[in-house]
Order: sequence, then structure tokens, then C-alpha cells
Amino acid sequence: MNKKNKNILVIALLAAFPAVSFARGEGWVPKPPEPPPLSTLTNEARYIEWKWRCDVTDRSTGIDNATACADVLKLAGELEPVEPWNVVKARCFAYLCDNIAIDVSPYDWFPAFACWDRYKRPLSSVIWRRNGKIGAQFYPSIGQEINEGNRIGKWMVWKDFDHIIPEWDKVISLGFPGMKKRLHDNWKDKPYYKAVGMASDAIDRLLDRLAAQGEKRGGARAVRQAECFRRLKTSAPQTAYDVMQFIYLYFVLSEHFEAVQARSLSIIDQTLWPYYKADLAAGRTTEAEFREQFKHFLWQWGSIDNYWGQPVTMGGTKADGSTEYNPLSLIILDVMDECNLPSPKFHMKVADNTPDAILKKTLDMARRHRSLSFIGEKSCRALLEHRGYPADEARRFVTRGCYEFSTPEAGNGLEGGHVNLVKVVELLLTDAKDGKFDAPDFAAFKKEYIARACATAKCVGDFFYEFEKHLDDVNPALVASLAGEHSVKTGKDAMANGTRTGNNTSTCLSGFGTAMDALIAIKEIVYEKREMSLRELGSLMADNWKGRDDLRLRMLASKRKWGNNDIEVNRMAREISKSLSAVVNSRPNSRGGRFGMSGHNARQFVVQGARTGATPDGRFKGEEFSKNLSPTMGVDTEGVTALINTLSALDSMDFPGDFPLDVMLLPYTVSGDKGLEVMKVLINRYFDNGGFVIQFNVFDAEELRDAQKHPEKYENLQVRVCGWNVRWNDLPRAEQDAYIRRADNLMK
Amino acid sequence: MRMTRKEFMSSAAAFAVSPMLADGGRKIKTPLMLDTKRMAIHDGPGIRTTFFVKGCPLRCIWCHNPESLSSKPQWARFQHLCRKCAKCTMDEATCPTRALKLYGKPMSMDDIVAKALEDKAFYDESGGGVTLSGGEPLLFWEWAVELFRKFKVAGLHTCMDTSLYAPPAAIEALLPYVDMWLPDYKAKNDALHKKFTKVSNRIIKKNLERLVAAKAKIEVRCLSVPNCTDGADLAARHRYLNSIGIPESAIVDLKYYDYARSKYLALGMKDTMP
Repeated sequence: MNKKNKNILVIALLAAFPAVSFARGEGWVPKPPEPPPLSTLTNEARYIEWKWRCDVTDRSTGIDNATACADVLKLAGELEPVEPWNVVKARCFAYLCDNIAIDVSPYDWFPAFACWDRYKRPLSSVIWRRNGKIGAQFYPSIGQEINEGNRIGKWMVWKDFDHIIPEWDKVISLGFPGMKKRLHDNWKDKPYYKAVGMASDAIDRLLDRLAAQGEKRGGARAVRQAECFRRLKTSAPQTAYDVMQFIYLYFVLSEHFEAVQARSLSIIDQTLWPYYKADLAAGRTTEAEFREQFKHFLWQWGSIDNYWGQPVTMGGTKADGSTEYNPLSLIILDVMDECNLPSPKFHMKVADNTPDAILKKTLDMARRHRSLSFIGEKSCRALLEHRGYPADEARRFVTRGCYEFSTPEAGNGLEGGHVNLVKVVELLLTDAKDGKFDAPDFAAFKKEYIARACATAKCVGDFFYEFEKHLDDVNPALVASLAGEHSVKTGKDAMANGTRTGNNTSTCLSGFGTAMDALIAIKEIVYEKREMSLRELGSLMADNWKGRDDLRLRMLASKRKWGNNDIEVNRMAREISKSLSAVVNSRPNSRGGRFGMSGHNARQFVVQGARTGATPDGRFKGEEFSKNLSPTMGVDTEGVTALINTLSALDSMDFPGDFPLDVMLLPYTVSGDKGLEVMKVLINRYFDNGGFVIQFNVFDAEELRDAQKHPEKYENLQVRVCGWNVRWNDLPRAEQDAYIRRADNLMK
Repeated sequence: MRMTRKEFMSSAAAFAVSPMLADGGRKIKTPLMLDTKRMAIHDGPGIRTTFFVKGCPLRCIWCHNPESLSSKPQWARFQHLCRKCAKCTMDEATCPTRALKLYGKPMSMDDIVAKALEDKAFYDESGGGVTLSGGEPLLFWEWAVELFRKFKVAGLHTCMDTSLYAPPAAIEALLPYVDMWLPDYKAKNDALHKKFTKVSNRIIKKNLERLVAAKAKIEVRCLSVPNCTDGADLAARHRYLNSIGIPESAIVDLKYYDYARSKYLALGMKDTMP
């Protein structure tokens, strides 16, 4: 086949299989600001702020991002017919390590790379092309069905390569040379070992290049960096700074070089503490220097500014039952507070042993909009033990992504699609309108709803069962495989089935709260008050409430909503979640792991909301719906205690993926020391009820309105969206309005 | 529960002619309820649920809850929200701009207790409980005694937010059931008190002294209204409270805000706020 025909084939394959993307499939992120001229990045603060938003590298050291993208696409195209795919990817990875432009700036404690743009990573287009081919080859029949479901908002299905984490403690204790030795100790003559070995060698060469550039640049920081790169090539990290540099390089190599996101920066206080303590004892560093280095460390992700945020875990419990929080935890939190960045986002493990000083400091930071959420250790550990993990592994769990968590050894859990529970209501009413469905009573209606919701969840599971058979045919995870003990011993790719106890897949529920509101509204309108037939209600929804604003407003104002601790709504929610759990949680996936139901829905409450018709709870067509397991914005009029009680109606053990709750509070309710005590009680109650994650937004509506009118005054104002913080000014107007609506409700 | 005006009028009428019966069949005054505030954290210790009754014998010119003065139901129309529809729905639930609000709805004692119990776990963890406020809850003191007795049976910590403008018998009857009193002390000078609240403070002081004598737990709130009850009167109030045995630690000075003007307008009442 000549080159022209090959290109035509690729285009044809992509056309036949366009939307089953490995990207996040969510279509919208805030447009990054235009970078300033490089000549203006002449001090530390400006340099670090912009280093990951434009190319700050020394061009004499290698190629830029555009050239890298073109070169690896061409290289992969040439090698694909003659080499195993993981080896092809390894050669591309090595090409980038050897050729991408770099710099080691005296303004910074961490190096810069020309592959800075996370939306145009060099290997992304290579993997995208491969994805199309694999889809067409192995599961062409489901492609159109997936695309149609994505288009109408029935589900959102994409391949997830964004939630893999290494066993940080083990890889840090080994370092790059230790991982390499372990690979060679287990070496077999298989493409896996060849590919991972090539990646490991390439990392060594990159460390040499970085060291040489640091020495060429000169100056105290550049030379210290160069020394660090030399150490990292020959040994495990020796100092706290080495550990930070190692974590940073690991992240960049995985995310920016090979398009696999390492979705954790470790349990950072626990990880750094022994090194920091030894550094201080040996006089290798000072607290002031650590603070500076850690500030630069955080700012790398602050500069990358990934909309979804980069998670960092804090704290935990030791085997003897005492807390893992240590004196460094407070220093880390101090620096984080001072930086006031949306990303990294901090996940604070909370247990009975959590020091009061830590809890008070972080609650105070949360009410000042810092990027924090609180993780209930007791309930997370209970869930993991319930899923069969040994108690000691459960104790050491780590968070990754928005709220997801796993034992350290099971860090390759992936998202397996978002099931739109509100769409199920819409489709049922459409069938009723068209005379294809009717139910004599609400019990029959609910039975059909549950059957269809379960069928949708099963269908999404079926897609992922097929997808995940071929994950490493699309995007083998070279760095994660090098880091994975079980992966290296078994020769199984870390992305696919390379962990001993993980390889799990989450099926996320979208619009849970709104679906409950819509169902109870149907009960009231059709079956209790008999104001219209199901068919007429279907027609009214199809007409987007045309001519019945009175009814719409009444339903909107109804207190029978998810979040108000209405016994009937709660009971129905439990029944539905139990039914979905029985379909999802019992099921093995195709990677040797299991599916698990998840209560979070990333940004699908907006995306799928826009693709979902009007619903009988008073929602117009296209409006966003509830996020996570929280109520629809603005309908929880009974206050936060009722909200927390509502969540206790569900069994969190049915949600092994995660069980998150968003709480909005007025500033005056959590002001002063009593306010902190109140927040403490709220999180304790939620965790005692089995909750996994709770996060706060503390605002009043007037402040938000002012922020809408005068964005220039609120450049640093952040809001918690789902599992991440976003600057207020980066939110679309409709989402800003939703926050204002909810804040208004608190005043009622 | 949301009601149309018609539904409301019929329910309110029924309510008005069916007051709760006390032991022995004697009729006692039962209030309409204004609001229920869950997770109240400024109405006593810990996290609390506060129930607001409608009706007050005082007429403080600075009152920030004018909807609580009359014990009868009242419609409010918030002018800044009202779209002035050709045909008003006269229904809170279907008013397209939420400009209409109905103040004063019946709520049975059992419903109040049940609502309070929903958050018991939060009270237990925070040292909180339930608070009765208003309006003036002691205007309905016999009803309050029965309600508080039920609160105590349910194991709830109780606070009474009151002006103490009530007969001594009310205090005596409630003493066993109120864990903490949150009285307002509005002015030391009786002439000022009469001028700004339309009632004398003599009975209030007497009740305060009775609470001290009974060793009741008290937190006295002293509102300081500029050019009315600030300065010398505030200092005099502190001196008096100290003199009867209430320490500074049990006195809270409150700042005055004139945030309630829109409510006067909405209720069609004369705005008396300074």
C-alpha cells in the first residue's frame, strides 16, 4: 500500500470510529490565557507561573513540541507494521527523551520541557490513530452505538488513561536505577521487557541531558539540580529535594512524554518526612530552603493548570494506630495555603487520630476556598476490606483522581463511563408520549425505570469489557510498568492487568439526585394528584414545559427532593442504588479486576445535562443536573444537616468507586472557632454515616454576584467544582449562576 | 407544606377555632410558626434547630423580624422581585419570581419534635439541641411548656430565645425544661425601653433576677442600636447585669444591622428601623 492509500485508510478508520476517544471526552476546558513574551519572564515568580503554559526551553538542546508531534507520528507510522505496539511506543518515548528541548533554569528548582502543552502531547496523536485502528479491528460493531449514546447524552464513554498511580513508597525507595535492576532481574525475551527496558534506558539518557544542561547553565540552583539528576541516575532519591524531583520527573515522563497520567503525587507528608528529617539532622537543608523547594514543586502543577487538578494525599494511620501526620504536614499545608493554587488539590485523610491542629488548619483553609477535600479513613478502609483487601493494605490507601481511592498496590483503576440516570427518565417519558409505554401505578413505573437504568449500566459495562481487552494495544503504560513490581514480575502491562490486586473499573452514575427528583415529581403529578396522564406529561416534557410554567415552578419549589431528607425519596434512592449496585458491583471486568459503582460524575452534570430533555422536577431541557451524589443545585432547602442525613439513606458499600458529597455553606455559619467546630461535626457525621469524601464551598450569594460583575477583583477566588477547584472567573456563566442559586437558597 | 391562599385561609380558620387543649380542657394559646432553621449555630451552644413562633407583645422599632410581630398569618410581596403579573397567583409555590411569601403556618407539636429529632446526631456530637425563638415564644408559654416537656422526653438540649416579657408564672413553669435561656435585654432605662419597645422593662428585670436566683444557665444578649440604646445605656445594662450576678462572660453584645427594611416594605408595614 502506498503512502497516499495508507493515509486514506487511516482517515476512513477514524471516520468510522471517531468519538471513542482516549481523551476525557468532556469537550470543554477553560481557554488558557495567552502567554506573555518570553523576554518578560525575568524573575522567579513569573517564570514558574508560565513555564508550563509556553515553551521556555533552550532551543539549542532539542526540538520543539510541534516538531516532536510530527516526528513521533511519522516514526510510529513507519514502525507499526514491523514492531510490536509497545515497542513502537517505547521507541517514540525514547525519541522524545533524546530529542525534546529542555532547560534547567536558575529561576526554578525543577527542569522545563518543550512538550509543555498537555492538550497537544506528542504521543497523543499517535495513540489516537492507534485507537481508531484497534476499534475498527476488534469492536467495530459497538462504535456507532457508543457514539450515538455519547451524542444524545445517554452515557459518556471514553477510554481512560488518566488514573494510574505507582506504589510511591516502593518506587522512591528503588529510584530509577533500582527499578531498572528489578526489570533486568526479571527479564524475559518478550516485547514487554524490550519496550519497558528501552523506556528505562531512555530515562537514563534524559537524566544525563538534564544534568549537562544544568551544568551548562550554572548558578546555584541549576548546579544543585544537575547534581540531583546525576544522583537520580545512579541511586534512589537521597534527600527530600531528590524525592520531589523524582516525583516530578515521574509525572512528566508519564503524563507529558507517554500520555498516561500519573494521578497522584504520593501521600506527600508521609513520603517526604523521613528524608526531610534526615536532611535537617545532617545539615543538608533548612526549613526555609525546603519551603522554597516545596513551593516550586507545587507551582509546577499550578503552572500546568490541568483543569481537573492533580491530587496529593496527606496523612493516614500507621500500623500501630497512631497518625501519619507529622511536623512536616503543617509546613506543607502552610506552603500550600500561601500558594493558593487550584492544583494540586489536597486530599486530607481524616480519622479519630487526626491531630486537631491539622484538622482546624485545613478546615480553616477550606472555608477560605483552598483546594482541599476531606477523606473519611474509617469508611474508605471499611469499603476496601469489604472488597476483600487485607486490613493493612486498606490502611495504606491512597487517593487518585477526583475522589477515587485504592490500595497502593492496586493503583490502575480506571473510569469506565458515565451512565446518565436522568436520560433514562426522559426516554421513558418519550416512550409514554409516543404510546409505547404506560404504567398503571408508580410502582410499575419505578420498576421499569430501574430495569432500564440497570440495562444502561450493563450496556456501558459491556463496552468497557470490550475496550479493556485492548488497552495496552492502544496505550501501553511504559513508565507505570517499570514502576510496578507485579507488572515487571509477570510481564503484564500496568495499564491493562499489571497489578496484583487492582485492574478495576468504575462505572460512574450521573445525575443521581435529579433523577430521584424527577421520579418523585412523576409520582406526584401523574399518580397522586392525577393532574395529567403519563402520556401528557411526556408531551409536556417534549415541549419543554411550554404553557405550564405554573406547574414547573410548583415542582421546582417542592421540598420532595433528594437532599431534603424526605423519607420517601430516600427510600426510593436506596432501592435504585441497590439495584444498580447488584448489576455493576458483582461483575468482573476483562482485565482480571472488577467493576465498581462510583458516585461521582466529573463534569458530566453539565455535559450530559446539556444533552438531556426537560424533566418533571421543574428542570428545563439542557439545564445542568445534580453532581456527584449531591442534590440538584438550589433544591436542598432544608440545610446541610438534612443533606448529610439524606446521604446516609444510601449504603456507601454500594459505591466502591467513591461516595462524594458537596456542601455549600454561608460564611457566617462557619465563622470563628465555633465555625470550625461545626465543620468538624459535619465531616464526622458524614463519615460516621459511611461517607468517603466531603468538600466545602463557603460563599454568600452577594459575594458571588459581585465576583460575576467584577471579575477583576476576584482573580484568586476558587470554587470547588467536582473533585477539583476552578478559578471562579474560569467558570462559564451558567455554572456561576448555579452556584449563586444554591447560595441564595441557603439564605431562605 | 405549600398552600394556596384559599387552602391557607381554610386551614388557618380551622386552626384558629381549634386551639390545643391543656390538661383539664382549658384552652391555651398556640402559635403559628414562622420558620424552622436547621444548623443554627448562633442560637445557643453547638449545632441547633431553631423554631420561630409568630407573635410578639413588644414593638421594638429596630425589629429585624417584622413578620414575627403579628400572631396572625401575613402575606408578603417582595417588590424588588415582583413582576406585577396581570393575574397574581397568590401562591408562594407558583409565583414565577418567588416574590410572594406567606408568613405563619400551623405546625403540630409532634411535627416540631419530629423535625427536631432529625438532627439529633448533630446535636449530640456538637453539644447542640433545639431553640425556641420568635416572635416571643413566651407569649404562648403554656404551649411552650408542653413542647419543651416533649423535647426533654426526647432527650434534647433546650434553649429559650426570649425578651422575658412574660408573666412570672411562665418562667416558673418553664424552668424545669429549659437548659439555657437566651434573653434579650434591650434597655436599662425604663423610659427608653418604653419609647423603643412600647413596653416597660420592669417585668423583664424581675424575670431576669428570678432566673439568676434559680441558677438557670443564661446568656444575655444586649443589642446596641446607634442613637437609641448604645453608649451609656449599654454600659448601664452591663452594670445592672453584673450587679444581679450575671458575669461578663454570660453577656453578648450584638451589633445592629438594618438588613430587614425590604421585609417591612414587602409586608406593607411602616419601616420603623433607625
